[in-house]
Amino acid sequence: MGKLLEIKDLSVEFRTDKGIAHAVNDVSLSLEPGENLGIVGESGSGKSTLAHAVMRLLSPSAVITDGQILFDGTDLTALPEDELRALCGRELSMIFQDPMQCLDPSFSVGYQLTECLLAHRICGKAEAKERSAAMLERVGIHEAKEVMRRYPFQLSGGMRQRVMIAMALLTGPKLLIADEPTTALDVTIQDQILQLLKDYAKQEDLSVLFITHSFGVVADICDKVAVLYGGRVAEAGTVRQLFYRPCHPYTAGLLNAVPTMEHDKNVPLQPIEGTPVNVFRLSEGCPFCDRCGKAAEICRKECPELKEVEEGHFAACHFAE
Amino acid sequence: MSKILQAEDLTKDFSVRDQRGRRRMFRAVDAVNFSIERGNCFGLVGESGSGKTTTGRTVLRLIEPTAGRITFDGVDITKADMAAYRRRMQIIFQNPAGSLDPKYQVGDIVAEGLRANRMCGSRAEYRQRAEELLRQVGLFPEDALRYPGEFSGGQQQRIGIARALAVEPEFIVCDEPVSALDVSFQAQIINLLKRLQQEKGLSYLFISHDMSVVRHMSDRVGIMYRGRLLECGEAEEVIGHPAHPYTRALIDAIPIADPDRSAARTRRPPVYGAEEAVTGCCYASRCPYVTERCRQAQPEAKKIAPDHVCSCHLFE
Repeated sequence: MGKLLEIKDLSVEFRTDKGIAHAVNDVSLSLEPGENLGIVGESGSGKSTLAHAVMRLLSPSAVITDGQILFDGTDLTALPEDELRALCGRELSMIFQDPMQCLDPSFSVGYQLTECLLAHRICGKAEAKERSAAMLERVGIHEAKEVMRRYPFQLSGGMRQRVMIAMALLTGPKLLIADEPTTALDVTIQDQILQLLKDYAKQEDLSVLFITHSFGVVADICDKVAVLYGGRVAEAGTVRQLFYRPCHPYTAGLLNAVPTMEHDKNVPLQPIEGTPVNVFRLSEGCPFCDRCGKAAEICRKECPELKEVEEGHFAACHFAE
Repeated sequence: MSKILQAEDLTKDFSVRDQRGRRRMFRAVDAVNFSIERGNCFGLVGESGSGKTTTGRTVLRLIEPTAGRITFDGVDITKADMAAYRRRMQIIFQNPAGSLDPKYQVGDIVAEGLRANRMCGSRAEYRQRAEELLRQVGLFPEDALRYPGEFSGGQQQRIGIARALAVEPEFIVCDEPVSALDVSFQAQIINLLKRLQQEKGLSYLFISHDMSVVRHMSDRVGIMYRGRLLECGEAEEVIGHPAHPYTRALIDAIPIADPDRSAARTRRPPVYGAEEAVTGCCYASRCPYVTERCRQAQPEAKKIAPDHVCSCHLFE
């Protein structure tokens, strides 16, 4: 099977007044058709920058210094603007954390939905309306015709997120980039949205690049997962490999730090001590070495390469095995 | 054990404007009853808009209640002059950056409550006390001279905690103290809050939308939905044997960080209902077990176990 998305040695830096922030460093990832890949990391780990780089939505201060992003064999980083516009929103779509900021408050939901079909000249106005209504029904909005007449502020947070998902899926993309789409939602609504995305992806053979900070969400909808730390891939593999045999101390630490519904209340949680690495001042060594219990002399001197610990399971740690 | 705080029929109405600009009343908290034992932690869980933050602020009278009674340490404080109680009741906010004045040095932020209450004799004593507080929450004494913007989110939340602790309170409202923090910081702050509670015998009202965090922190919990306390009782009892359909839905929806168990769980199809005001139960429009009676009459709180109260017609 050919790869749908292949990110090769990607590095992105932000040139700011405070210096250069190395947001993404040497990241390589790939996604097969129909596969869901989760990207997990804390704030500042580079996960959103990575997603924005794929859609070429980076702010002007960001520069892709190295690497390629291949979508279906085409390098998105080198594509002229007009060809990229024809691709984005049609073959690959994106949904964001806050739907209120992404929907235009002064146009009705129906107008904004049909707009993406019309802009890509996929069909005429009448058909666009019908298709939009059908898609709204599909993402769980009943009375679709009524909702299309409304404006974003008249909808609840869960409804807005459904509208945004409908908008992203209308053009029948092959890849959906979901940047923390459920973080701002209540758990019961989050659960519904995740099921919706999961079922749709399965039925339509859609690949999802799912950016999140929650391991619970990853366990629910992803096949593969990559953990980012300090702009680097710390560990990558199938969901089962990472959850049941984490090889990087950071992954293991994150999995242990989250309180679960079974955790003994009298046993303190095991936090990862210290604070996240400053991407303005990356040292030569492993980005995690200041917070790592296993850190040795070599960790401070040499940044570990990603190595394969078992088939399809990679970890960037000197002691991974 | 004595009760440190008791809320009886606590109600708060806000005046809001509807889409046509007409004034109407919105009941954010609706006849809520709960009590907190001294040295215990009471967890309040609910989705956004359920009224949990309003409840937390109302018991401190940062928001004045519309009706009901608040008793603190055996004294009715519903109408009392709060100046006498501010030192004993404190709050930790959700957004650490927004709750710290960026132009104040951290030491001054922490010592502000001490100064307001004239708790130290000299400038040197104030500084010494602030440094000691910073050390207690896992920061360094030197940090007193820095500004909030120089700290990470987790460290800023530690500063917020040090400020609340400064005046030696007995009761602290923790309003989503870890929700804005990264996973690796959440555990640090939860452990810190728990340690401080044990060392100082503090009582908490712990507000969160995250059931697993509340379960870890709390002795007793209450579940809120649209301003009403639907279920309340001993934490293990309520979470282990949830009675109200909403509590069950809430627990079922928690993502499980385990691929096999996540795949194995069964899901009920969601019930979509119009979000309109009803005379009956506030959960009627989303409840899979709804009957005609639920739409007509509001259910009374009913005791279903020694320390477990549930407001649902199913249990009458």
